[in-house]
Amino acid sequence: MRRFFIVRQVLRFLLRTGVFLLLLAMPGQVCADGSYTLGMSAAFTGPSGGLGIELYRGSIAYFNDLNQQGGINGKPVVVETMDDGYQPDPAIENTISLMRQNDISCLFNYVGTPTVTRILPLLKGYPGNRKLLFFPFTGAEPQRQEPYSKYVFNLRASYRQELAELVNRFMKLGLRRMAVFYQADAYGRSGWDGAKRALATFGRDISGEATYRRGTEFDKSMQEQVRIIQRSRPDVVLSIGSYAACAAFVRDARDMGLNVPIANVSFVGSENMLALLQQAGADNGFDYTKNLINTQVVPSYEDLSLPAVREYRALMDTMQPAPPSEADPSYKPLKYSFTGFEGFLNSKVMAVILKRLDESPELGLAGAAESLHDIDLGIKTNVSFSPDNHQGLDRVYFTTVRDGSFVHVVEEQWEAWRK
Amino acid sequence: MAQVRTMSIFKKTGLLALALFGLISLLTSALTAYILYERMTEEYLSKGSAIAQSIAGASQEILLNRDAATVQAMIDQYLEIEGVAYVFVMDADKMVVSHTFVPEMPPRLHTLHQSKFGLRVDEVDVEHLGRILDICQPVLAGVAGYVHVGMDKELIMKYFWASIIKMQILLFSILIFCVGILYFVTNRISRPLTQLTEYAGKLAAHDFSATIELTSSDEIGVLGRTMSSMAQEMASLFSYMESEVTKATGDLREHMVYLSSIIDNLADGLLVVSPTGSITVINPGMREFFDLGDKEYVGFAANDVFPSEVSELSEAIRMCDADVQSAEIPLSRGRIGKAVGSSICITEPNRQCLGGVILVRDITREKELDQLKTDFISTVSHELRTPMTSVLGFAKIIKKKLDQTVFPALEKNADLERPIVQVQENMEIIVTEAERLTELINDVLDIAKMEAGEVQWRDQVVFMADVLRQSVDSTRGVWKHRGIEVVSDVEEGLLPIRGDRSRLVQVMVNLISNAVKFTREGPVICRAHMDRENVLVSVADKGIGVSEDALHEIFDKFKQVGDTLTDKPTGTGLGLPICRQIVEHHKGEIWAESEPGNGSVFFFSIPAASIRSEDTKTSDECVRILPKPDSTMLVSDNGEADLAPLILVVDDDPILDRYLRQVFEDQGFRVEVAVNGEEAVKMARDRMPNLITMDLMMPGMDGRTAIKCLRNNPFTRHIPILVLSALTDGVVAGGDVALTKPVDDVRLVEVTRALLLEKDIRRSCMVLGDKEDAGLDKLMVISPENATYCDPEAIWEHVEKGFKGTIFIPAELDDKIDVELLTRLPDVAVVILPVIAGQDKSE
Repeated sequence: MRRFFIVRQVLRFLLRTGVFLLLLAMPGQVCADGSYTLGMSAAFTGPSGGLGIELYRGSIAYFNDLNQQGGINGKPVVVETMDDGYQPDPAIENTISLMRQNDISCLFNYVGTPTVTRILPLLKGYPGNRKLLFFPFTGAEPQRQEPYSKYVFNLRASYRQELAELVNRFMKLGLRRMAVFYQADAYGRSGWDGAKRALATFGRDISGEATYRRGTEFDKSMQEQVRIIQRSRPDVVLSIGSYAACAAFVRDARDMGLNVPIANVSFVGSENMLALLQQAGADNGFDYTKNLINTQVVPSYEDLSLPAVREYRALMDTMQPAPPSEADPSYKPLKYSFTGFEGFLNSKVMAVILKRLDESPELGLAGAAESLHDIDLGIKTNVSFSPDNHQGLDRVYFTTVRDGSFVHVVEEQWEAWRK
Repeated sequence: MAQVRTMSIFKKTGLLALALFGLISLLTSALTAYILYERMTEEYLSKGSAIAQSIAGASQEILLNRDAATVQAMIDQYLEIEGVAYVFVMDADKMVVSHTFVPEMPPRLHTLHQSKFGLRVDEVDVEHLGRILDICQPVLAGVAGYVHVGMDKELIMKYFWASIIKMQILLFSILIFCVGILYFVTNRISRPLTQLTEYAGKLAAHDFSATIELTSSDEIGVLGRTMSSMAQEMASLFSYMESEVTKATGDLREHMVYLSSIIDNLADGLLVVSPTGSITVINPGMREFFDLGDKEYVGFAANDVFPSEVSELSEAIRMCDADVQSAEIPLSRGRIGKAVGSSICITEPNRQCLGGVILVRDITREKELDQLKTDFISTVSHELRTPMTSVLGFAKIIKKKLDQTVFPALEKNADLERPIVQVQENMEIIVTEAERLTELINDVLDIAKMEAGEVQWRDQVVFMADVLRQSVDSTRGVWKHRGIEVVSDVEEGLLPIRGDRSRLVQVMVNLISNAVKFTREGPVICRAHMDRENVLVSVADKGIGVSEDALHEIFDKFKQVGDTLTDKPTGTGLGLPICRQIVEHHKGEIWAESEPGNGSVFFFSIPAASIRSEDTKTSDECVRILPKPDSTMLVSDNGEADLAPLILVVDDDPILDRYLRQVFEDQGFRVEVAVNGEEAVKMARDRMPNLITMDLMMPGMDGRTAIKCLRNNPFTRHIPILVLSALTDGVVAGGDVALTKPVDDVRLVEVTRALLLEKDIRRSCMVLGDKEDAGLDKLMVISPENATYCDPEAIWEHVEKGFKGTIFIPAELDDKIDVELLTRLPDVAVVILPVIAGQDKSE
């Protein structure tokens, strides 16, 4: 801890005295002979550990398969993992460490808004080391906006998009009073901001809001937050948080009689949340899974009509990738998950980029990525990047729990929530 | 050793130091904590300001972009800084775009004011957060918004208290440490002190064997060693003193034993009484005298143990306010003791009375011897006198017969002339020697009586001039015969003395006779003059003188200076001792001065008397009762001469009166009775009794006064008085004889007869010289049966006793007495008997 503290102080100093003035140019040479190594700092432990693990597993399932088929022109793709436990400071340290390694091609699959928003200045310029961040698992705005948008490539839709979709949908259903339950950090603030902006388009404002501390476990009480939310008599609650905290909120809300629909964003890790709620429901004899709406930025892995889904499931079935070595040994891997599927899609896009790069190294990694255009991932939506557009997908999917798993929300269900 | 109960000086100092330390530590920590608080508050303020400025500086663009998430990411990291309670950012519309509150932003903070121009600090109380220092920094002068940083003041307080507690713990630890060190140090100091105290205590208890072990070389060590050497000094001093005391005690004890043995072995009884009257010392002799046995009497009151005589003596001396006292006291078993008591008084260093000491000597034996001596002398004198009377009387008769009858008848025979002359001479020698022997016997008897205290002194006012004149007259026959002049020189206004006149005359006669005896040519000068308070009388002669050595001896018995002379002794050698007895009885002195060859001077001095007013008073009283004598008394006396003697019984007790009347009437006496003094005096004057028995204690005029009256009056002066009294000092009262009641009738009658017989001597006719001597057998014309014969020297005595009547003086004796003086007496008639031819007394 002591060491981290010093590093933090140093970083703080650097940030204050103008990290932004540091070297901007010199895009990192990400290729190395023999293999492409992707640096991944994510939460493999803690209350959001499941996210990192499943994201990793989905990614590695694809890369393993790719590597078995010869990799990128014979060059295997390796993911080097580092655990940051969903905390900004370890994330910064991990990032510095990864960036100092010349054989790391780029940063990949980072998890979480507070972590990612904090490492953005590093991407902007770290002397002699400049690496791009691909497909962070977050819908926050900073990496989608100047000055960092050019160093980051996003595949998934943003929270702002997710919340805009949600707000639009609820407004249509006449659910106008919307309260926000959010994590007290940049992630939560992104969702809060998204909700605020979306509501503003309807001339409304958030009817009530409550926060919780990042890292709150499932067994902690959320009753105080529920009370604050209840005070605003919401029609619906928009929940922007981690799965453990959101599950705890759902549990306490239902226990305290707040039965309005609760909407969670993609980051929550629907399967993990569901598992906790099912467990709590079994313990308390109550079905906590009702009236939940989770937005997703990838299609449901249950939609077997999609070739990517089929591929994903096939690879997960055959590969059954192990969690990274940093992961909590007690963690039970999910068979399939939205997160894992997102990781799978991330790897699939990454493989295309790397292949482009390998074939045309003069483009550079950024150039290779920006050269992608209408790439079919098998999810009925093509992916395109350009120097002006680092946002790969914009689609938002609504899911709800039915028969113990998250499925797309059907029209009858929407009508049932209409007010 | 007794525990020191009071708190030791070290404990006190320790407690004081502790209290001071506590105070100092409290003040120090309070001050430190206060400074810390102040500093921290300032620090927090500057820290908060720095954060606020930092956020404000970095978020201008972001805020303008309205990117809440980025702002949030930025402020999140500041939340981690210690002391930051919250951070929130407002946009220009004062809408909160980011904050760090969980679960919600406290409503109080919405009301905070902002300042567009620089830093603004508010101190607010926020729910759940406590006291907060809110620092507000505008971003781009409020155009972009405002940054609020909340610094946790509760944390400052927490640090404040934490530092106080830590400081107190530290100070307390230091205190404990210091106390430990102090305890150690004070122990090191106080242990030797305690040892010293104990040691000193032992020394105080005279335990010099105690030792003290102090090896340190500091002041206490020096003190300990000094005390140690002091103890040794004291020990040797003590042992020396102890041995000295033991020696002294031994000496003292020995001395005490010596003294107590002396006291125990004293033949005399010794009694010491304390000032309070309790017995402190009593020796075995004293026990024996009072048969006290072996009982312990020390501490008893002398009054309870001894008879009243001893008690009175001890009372008199025990307070040291009396001189040496002596008394005769009765001892047990009929013994008599002489007790001498004196006070024990010390004057150094202070005058203090320690009581009195009484010495008792058994004088029973001495008393008996004294009595025996007196009895012996009396007996011998009497036994000698009786035959001597016969020898002298018959010798004189024989001489007279021879001279008157035998020798004239034999004168015719010439052959017998020579034998006759021889017989005459021999007869003369016999008579002279017999007279000398009688004189000697009388003197011996006299001096024996005086020494035995049996002489009856008749004290009265005496004028020494009378005495001298009478003495010179009395001795006229002697000095005339020797052809020596005796000159009398009496000072004018000579005070009288109080004494027995006849005895004083006796002294003068003696001295004159002596002077004449040893002088060949006169004159002998007799002088009387005042010498201060005394009447000094001297008799000077021009005789052979007395040697220096003999001057002191001549007043002793049988020491006659004449012994050394070739002359044959002419005196008894008792004259001067008798003189001394008489003078000393009068509280006077007698001495002699002499130059051998040039004569000698004999002196005696007697204190002058002051004439007491009581006598005058008594006389006045008596004069009232007894007027001037008149001649009828002589007639009356003579008229009753043939009757039985009249006895006047004076007593206020009628039973005793009756008893005495009976006793005396049985003896054939006439009896009259008077019941008090006044009546007695009147009756004595009227009836002129032959004897008076007088009781002393009577109502009205008492016996003593009555006797004085009777003695003062010439009519009654001669009446013999027999004092019958319960008192023992009857004689002193002036009577002739005293008998103590109860009266033995035989003795009473004997004494009465004796007194009546004496009375006969004082009958109205008195002839000087012997009956035969006076040759009155031829002169029986004058009441021959009633005539009394008396020595020429004794005539003054009779006159003194109140003789009244006619004195017949043979012509050959008229030079021996002062006839002129006799003729001057008012009630005395003097008849000179003519000298019988052929009789020459002097040869």
